[in-house]
Amino acid sequence: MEAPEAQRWDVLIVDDDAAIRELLTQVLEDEGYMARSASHGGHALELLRARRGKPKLILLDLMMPVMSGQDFRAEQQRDPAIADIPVVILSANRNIEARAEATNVDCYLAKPVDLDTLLEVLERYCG
Amino acid sequence: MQATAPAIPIRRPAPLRSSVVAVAAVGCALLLSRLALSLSISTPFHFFYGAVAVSAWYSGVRGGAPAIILSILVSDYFLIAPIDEIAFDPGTIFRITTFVVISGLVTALSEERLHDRDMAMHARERAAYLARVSQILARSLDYRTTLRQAADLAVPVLADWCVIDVLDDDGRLAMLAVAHADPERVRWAYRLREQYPVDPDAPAGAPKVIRTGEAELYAEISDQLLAAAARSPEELRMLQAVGYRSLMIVPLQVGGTTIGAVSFVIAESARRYSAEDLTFAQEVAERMAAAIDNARLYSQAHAARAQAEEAVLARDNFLSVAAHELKTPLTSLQLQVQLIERRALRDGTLVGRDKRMVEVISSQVRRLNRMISSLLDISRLEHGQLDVYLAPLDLDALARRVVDETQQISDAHTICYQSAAAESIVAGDELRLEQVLQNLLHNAIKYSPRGGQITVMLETEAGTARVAVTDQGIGVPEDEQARLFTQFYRAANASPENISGMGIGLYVVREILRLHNGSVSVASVEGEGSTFSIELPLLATRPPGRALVAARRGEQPAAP
Repeated sequence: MEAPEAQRWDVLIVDDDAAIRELLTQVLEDEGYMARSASHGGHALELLRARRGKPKLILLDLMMPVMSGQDFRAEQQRDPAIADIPVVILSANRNIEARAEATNVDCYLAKPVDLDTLLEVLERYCG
Repeated sequence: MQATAPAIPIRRPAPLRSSVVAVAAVGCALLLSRLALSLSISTPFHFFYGAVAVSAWYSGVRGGAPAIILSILVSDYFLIAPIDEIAFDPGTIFRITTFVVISGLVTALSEERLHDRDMAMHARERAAYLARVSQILARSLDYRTTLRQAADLAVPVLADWCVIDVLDDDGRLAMLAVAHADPERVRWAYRLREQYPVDPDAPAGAPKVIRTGEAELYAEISDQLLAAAARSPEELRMLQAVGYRSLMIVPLQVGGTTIGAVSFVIAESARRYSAEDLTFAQEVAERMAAAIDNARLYSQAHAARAQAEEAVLARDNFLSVAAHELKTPLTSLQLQVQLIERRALRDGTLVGRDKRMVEVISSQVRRLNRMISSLLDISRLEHGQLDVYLAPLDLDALARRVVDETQQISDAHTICYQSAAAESIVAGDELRLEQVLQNLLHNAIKYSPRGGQITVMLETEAGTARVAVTDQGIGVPEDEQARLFTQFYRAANASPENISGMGIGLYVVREILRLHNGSVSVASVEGEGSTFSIELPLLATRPPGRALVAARRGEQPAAP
């Protein structure tokens, strides 16, 4: 699907649900964005730290095993190398607004995500 | 006399003191009479009337009677000729008889007055005692503690011993309270009860009263009676040690069931219980039973409430988790169907039948999402967590948009939008009011299964904006209209086989409007259709240019 050596890297998808990861990747690639995905926060940190380039945006789920979205966000903000990457929360959590505020994130999308809204957000951050 | 005297003591001077007063009064009368005699005034009885009156006033018959007898003897001896000797000649007998009749009358009247005074005092004391008992019992819902205090209060006014026995949950008789003036005797009573537990089937005493619900009075307890009641020589010794002299046992009754008994015992004091005391004791017991009843009801209600709260919490947790879990696959479904639609739009690969199927999938996914969201809304509403973010909102624009969007999902219905409003700016939460209008429109579609016209009408009147959604559907029976806005309620004519639904939508609508200081109402004729109207307060401020735009607005059907 994508070359590991790819220089251009637009979006990092962090979600524990494989179907959603795959689907989001498809959506993004359809629109011409380069995407990579991680199944939890720890995995995402690994990816971010192993590569030279940085994504323009992180789409972050909240409830995930191993490392939750909140914990990932805290770690990310502690690491100056990756702290400035904008994060959009993507969650089915009923208190998503409060969670977004608690994790210091400006933008959030409630699941189920409307495709048009998602594309607008991508346009805003990566266009 | 003693046996029928009320056990609450009457404050009447003691016999000795009465006699002393009588002797003193008669002595004074004698001195005055002698003085009068020395002045050659012959008034053998005059002053003795006074002596009798004073004695009787002081202590009734108790003082009056000795005063009369003494007066007769003294007058006869000292004042009536022959002086210094007791003699009863016919003239003397006549005088004495007159004296006895009149002074007897005085004494009787005084006795009557004293009796009335005593009775009034007695009644006041009882009332005060009852009031005190009620006060103690009302002090706290911990009836074990308050009953102990109430038992303490009975000693020594009403009894030497007061014992309260209550049936516990296992049907055993538990001694809830023992009161005696001497704390050492109280400890002894507890030890005794431990050693000799009460047999609930015992033929007499508290167990019998609890079984029958009838109060018992033993005015005088003889040694024979004790011997008959005791089951063993040991128990007899115990009963004798208590020193029962007079006893009454009254039932504690709650809702027609006897749950215990209160025993009042006279041991050391010389009083004996009467029927009157029994009535009073029953009044005290009634108040004690009411206190127990209150406390039990309260603890039951408390437990039920805690249980209900726990159930609600469990339900909300479940709803929350279930909604989250349901939304994950829904996310992927929605994205996929939207992706297909988007690709089809771009590539033109989807045509005819397939396109229609994708539309159906899309609308069903949206429906599923709405259902899950309204389940969550319900638990949020109950916890006051459903927030609305009020901002100036053009109700006309919102209604127009919702009508347009809804028309696209139904071919069988024509949705007609009319606005008679010059302007319709309200303080509203756009997402929530959109949800309200969507809900009313979806209901209008759902409950008019044969299709037809749906009219959405916007009007303003006296600071209020009203949106009315009218359908030609099955309607709502009149007697069910009021309950339509309660949770999980569905009208009887909306049978689950024909029209699906959870009975949540209108409840959420009503609550959202309430958060907007608005309201929702229904007018309907069963079989002809319904009109659901929402009302919202208009914002006073008028954004520039609105009036011009509104003026061009006429009646126009929404885009198909």
